[in-house]
Amino acid sequence: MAKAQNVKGIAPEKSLEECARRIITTRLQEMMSFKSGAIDGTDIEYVHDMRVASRRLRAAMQNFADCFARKKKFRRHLKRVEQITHTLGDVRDLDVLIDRFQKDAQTVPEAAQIGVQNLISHLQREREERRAPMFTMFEALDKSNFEQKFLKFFKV
Amino acid sequence: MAKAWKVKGTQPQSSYRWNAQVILAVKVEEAYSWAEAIRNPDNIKALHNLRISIKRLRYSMECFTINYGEEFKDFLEGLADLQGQLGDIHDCDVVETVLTDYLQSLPDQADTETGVIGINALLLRYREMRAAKYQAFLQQWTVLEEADFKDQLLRIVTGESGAETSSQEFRHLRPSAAEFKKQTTHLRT
Repeated sequence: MAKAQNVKGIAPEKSLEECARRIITTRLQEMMSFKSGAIDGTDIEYVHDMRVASRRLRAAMQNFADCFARKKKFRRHLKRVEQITHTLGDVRDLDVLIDRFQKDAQTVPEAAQIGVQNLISHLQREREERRAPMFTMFEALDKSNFEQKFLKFFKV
Repeated sequence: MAKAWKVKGTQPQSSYRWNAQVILAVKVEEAYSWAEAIRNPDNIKALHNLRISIKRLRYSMECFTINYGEEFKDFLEGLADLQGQLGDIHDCDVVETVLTDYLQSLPDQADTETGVIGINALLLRYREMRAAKYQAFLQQWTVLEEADFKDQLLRIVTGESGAETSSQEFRHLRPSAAEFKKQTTHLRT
């Protein structure tokens, strides 16, 4: 799991609002930095890292909600981030299961091999199905200029 | 999944340091609201909720690291350990559901028999692993409880004195990742 990026420009004596804005924008950029790797899909860690980053972003947004007067817009951004977590979670769950069962397949008795291999094939098909909504979501984020709008709303 | 507790009383124009105390105290209480329910190994929901709450607490603490000293990081690592242990238990619970559903979806014919053997072998393996991981978690949870982990953490996040010494005491109670792996490795082979 990728470590959280350091946030520049925050200090204990600064106002919560200024720090909140810096943290939220850093976390958003961190999350989006994993997007192309998640789309590629060769390395399953990108989906995982993007999901973890989205959770860190959500935690920050929920903790700092009182700093933002335009509640409706704030909630809309938060909902979008929640959607990102959930969509990536659907893919991640299967990535983990496939990886796990592939390791198990090497250690189960011979008589059990066929069953485990069939299960892996079944899950791999399901994984492809679950990646489709993720692509749709990324397209929608691009079309709606999500990143730019988000950064504009939270900028210091 | 239980919703995150709302944090009330933050002041956007007050210092980051002051607000950290308000926010983190709520997050600690939220996580510990599941403390009793997780004594039951079959309470999958409570264990899941505790895991998510610890995650929220951990990510919130990460936001405020700059306001605290080294001892804060020890607690952060302690929470990461707990989250990892709870994550392992959750993974076993997910596997149980997936395998059970998959078994039910298999056609009731002789040619699926060999497939059923494999899935049943996995089910047995994961049930044993889950039981061992829950015991390891409960043991660690109890050790931390006896060491007053929650109160020490609250003292640190709210800036009360005496926390430095406690953190050093607590450091010895954390099992190393290697030790934990050793405890459960035999179940993987």
